[in-house]
Amino acid sequence: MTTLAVQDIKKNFGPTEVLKDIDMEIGTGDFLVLVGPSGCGKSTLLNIIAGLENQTSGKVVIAGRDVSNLQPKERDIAMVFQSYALYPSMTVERNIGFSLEMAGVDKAKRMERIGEVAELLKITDLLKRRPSQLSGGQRQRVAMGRALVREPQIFLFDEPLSNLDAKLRVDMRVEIKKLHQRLGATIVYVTHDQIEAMTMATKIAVMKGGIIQQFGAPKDIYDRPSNTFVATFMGSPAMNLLIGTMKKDAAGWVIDHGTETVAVPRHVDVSGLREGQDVMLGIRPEAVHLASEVAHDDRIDQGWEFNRTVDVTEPTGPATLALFEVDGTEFHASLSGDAQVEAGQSYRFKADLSKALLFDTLSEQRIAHVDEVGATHETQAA
Amino acid sequence: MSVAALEPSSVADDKVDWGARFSRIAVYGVLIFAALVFLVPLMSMVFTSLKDMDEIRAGNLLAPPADLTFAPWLKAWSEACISVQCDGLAPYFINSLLIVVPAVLISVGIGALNGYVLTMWRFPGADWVFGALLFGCFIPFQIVLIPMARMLGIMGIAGSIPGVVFVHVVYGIGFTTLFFRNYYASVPKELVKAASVDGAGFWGTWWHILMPISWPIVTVAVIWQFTGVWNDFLFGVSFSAGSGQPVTVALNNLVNTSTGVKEYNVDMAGAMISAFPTLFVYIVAGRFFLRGLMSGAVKG
Repeated sequence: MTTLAVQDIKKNFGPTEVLKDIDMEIGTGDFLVLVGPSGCGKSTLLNIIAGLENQTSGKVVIAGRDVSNLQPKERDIAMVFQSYALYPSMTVERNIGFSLEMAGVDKAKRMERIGEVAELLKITDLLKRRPSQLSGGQRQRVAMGRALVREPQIFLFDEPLSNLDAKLRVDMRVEIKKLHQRLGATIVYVTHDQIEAMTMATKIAVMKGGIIQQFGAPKDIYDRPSNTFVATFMGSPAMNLLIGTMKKDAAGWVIDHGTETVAVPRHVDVSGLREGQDVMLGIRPEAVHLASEVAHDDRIDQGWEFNRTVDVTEPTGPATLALFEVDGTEFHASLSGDAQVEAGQSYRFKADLSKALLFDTLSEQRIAHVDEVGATHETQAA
Repeated sequence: MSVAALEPSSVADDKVDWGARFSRIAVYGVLIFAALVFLVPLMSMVFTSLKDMDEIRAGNLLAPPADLTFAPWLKAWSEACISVQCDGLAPYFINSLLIVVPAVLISVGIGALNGYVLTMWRFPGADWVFGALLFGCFIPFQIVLIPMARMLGIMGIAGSIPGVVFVHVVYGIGFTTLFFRNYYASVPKELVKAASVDGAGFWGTWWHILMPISWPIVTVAVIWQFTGVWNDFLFGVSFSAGSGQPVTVALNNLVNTSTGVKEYNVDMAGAMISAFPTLFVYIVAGRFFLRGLMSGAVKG
């Protein structure tokens, strides 16, 4: 069932178009993450869904009800803010129960609900304290309690973890995900952190410049990004883009990037390519290995081997990142943690091309895969 | 504390630092002198108000009273003649209270609302409205006397206590708005958004969320308005009449009454009675006043 539908939402601030024709739908129990760099319009979109800002045009439909012109309190939503926005003068208890208080729920019922939520979030012993007496993580829980107590159709989260330190952020990430699984709640979550997006979402909308660049499941977004922006935004370190031109030689289509040529991965649909077309070959850092380590790994059936001098190494523990240059562009390789690489030394690398992507340089769009194009093409390819 | 931080003081113990000691003495000297400059006139007032007229004529201005008497205080309060009535300052003191209480409450209340709207519910032209209110703070009182008298006449409250209250409210709103606007500017907007999602409306948000954290600035505004309104003479003498005058005007009339002997002790007692409420407000709320003035710097 569709819980939230956003239809042709536009938002202008004066002459600036902040959102251009945003269109999407999520169902009950979906965890939608809006992700993008700052200024992409993701927070504005969330505020419009919440009713805190008015759209210039378009509709917001929640659980089949057009709420486009309703007040936030009439939309059956709850929101968790980046700064938590706990009411400083009130105890935790009253903070959590404030929405019920405003709705005129009687005290006994209120206390019962607050108790349940506090139990769920394990903050029962904090109920009598004030926000100033809480740690960051505790404030975060109280802010979630304030949202949970209302049992809304949709929970809205506005970068709720960005004020926490790195360790707590990872803990709370898991906790929010657990909560989502337990309650089956529908969530819209805004973040600029692509790892949060990948780990928590059931659906991701990658935004840039007021446009949804791609909308889909995390796995699709990661494996089949629709353009170079999505490809490089999702994943850390970012996907490597190798610049070259298309060429057809005896063996078939190759990408010529100056010093070497690389065969076009087999899964790419080559029917639309033309000779001399400017393209970019996208290879994720984790697909690049030391040739010596994968010499006997026959799973890599489409590889590209090359020698490069490593400029910088960054051992992170589980992986060792090696940075080198390929024709003037930086190239990251995420090697195994035990890989013996040193800066200044030359090594032979092997890139696994089974998941490599081809982009058109001009349009920045990904060139479709064989399994994505129509049935007629498939027969031709076969 | 680290060991390194302890070392300089242990060195200083061995050897007296005369330069530092001299500057300390100089600082205290200047402070004590300044305190005396302010306290001596007050002391002289207190002493004079506790002497009878014979002792005043005979004695020294700064000498403590040899023969302690509270009669001048009683006379100033309830018997001294002001123009033709001989009821002392008491009825005028009440007038001042009747002016100051509503004037302070209304101007602080409106200032708080203005500040709330100007920060949290911004509307097109909000900056212009604020600019105009700010400008109002700098209009000299004398300029508005005649137009204001005309206005009060039209409104039918000329020469009455409500008229004086009205003038003080109008003049006070500029300052109280400034106080509250700047205070609320440091309050995160997300609080208001959260309240709005939680179902609190315009008034609910103000009352439940903002007012409970506004007490430091309320204290500042109340003290500011209270002293301003209580000590006002110009509006009092211009816009009130006869038995409706505030205590400042009455004190002036008391001191300037030119029949018979000039009773310095009664004048001094009267002046202190008139000044007492503002002193009281400072002592009671002074601590909060300082805290309020500084609270803009530290987010609550």
